[in-house]
Amino acid sequence: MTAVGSVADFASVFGVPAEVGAVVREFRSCELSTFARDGTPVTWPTMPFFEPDRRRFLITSSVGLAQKALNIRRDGRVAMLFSDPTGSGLVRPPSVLIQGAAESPEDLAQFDDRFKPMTRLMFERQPVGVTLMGALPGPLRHLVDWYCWRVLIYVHPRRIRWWPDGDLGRAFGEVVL
Amino acid sequence: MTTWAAVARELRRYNSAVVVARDERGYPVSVRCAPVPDERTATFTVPIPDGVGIAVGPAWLLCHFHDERFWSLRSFGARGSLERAEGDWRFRPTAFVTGVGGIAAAVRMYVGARRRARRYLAARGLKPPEIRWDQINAIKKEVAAARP
Repeated sequence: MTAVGSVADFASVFGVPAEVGAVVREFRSCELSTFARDGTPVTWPTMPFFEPDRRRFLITSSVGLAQKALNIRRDGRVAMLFSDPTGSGLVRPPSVLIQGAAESPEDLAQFDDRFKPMTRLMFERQPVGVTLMGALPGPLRHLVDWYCWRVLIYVHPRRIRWWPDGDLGRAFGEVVL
Repeated sequence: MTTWAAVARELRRYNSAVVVARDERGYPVSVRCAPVPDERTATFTVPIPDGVGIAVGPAWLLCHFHDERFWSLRSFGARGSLERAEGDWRFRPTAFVTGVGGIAAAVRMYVGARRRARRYLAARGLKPPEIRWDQINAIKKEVAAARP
């Protein structure tokens, strides 16, 4: 796994403008859409981690909140919308919509050395949550074990669209992969 | 309270929402916009520009918030449908879906997620993995040491 922010980034990997790459790198969350069994889209915010060497996003979720992974195992079509710049430090960034093919293997993960770049970035970006999790004394840590058992989701971009300045009234840019 | 009223009440706490439906290829397509409540039709008018490729059908509305430190999380969702009427796009909610934020939601999520986690592992014959707190804390220390 290559850390976010390494030399190859989203923009250079997929040939999109640098400001689109900055959105993917700096936004704290995106809105991930999957399909429920009845075909209704279901969307919740999530933290994505781009792996440039694999040309894909890694998303993890607690096994207790695994519905998005279960949805993906039935229908792998997903969308990731980057539309909330709060905390990114970017001014008037584009809105970025990435549609892709997702997979969710049965392997489990946790916040350990195997997923160190992702864990590190999460700790950097969400210091309050990490402080709370780490504040539990040893005998009480089993109360949050369910949160640390993670399902894996990989998203392979198929179409990338962006709207300059986040203005949907303007013409969008597009790369189809 | 009707589903429409529940969504309208909660929507007031947010500046905008994300509306999601399918595009012509069957992929989800999502748009951030400012829905306008219309009590008469029990819908929300959603300004979606031409060219986005969104289609009428099953739909979802999401509102979420986090602060600059990626905390103070709150959210809710709504199932429904996306309709086209008199030249406008309209979202018609059919179910309010609680997200995160507030003590009651936190307790509900904690209890439910813990139960579902054990059920997930049991259904697959998986032994609950031992959490590597030593590695978690080592990474945490590294991050803290690098902080200015």
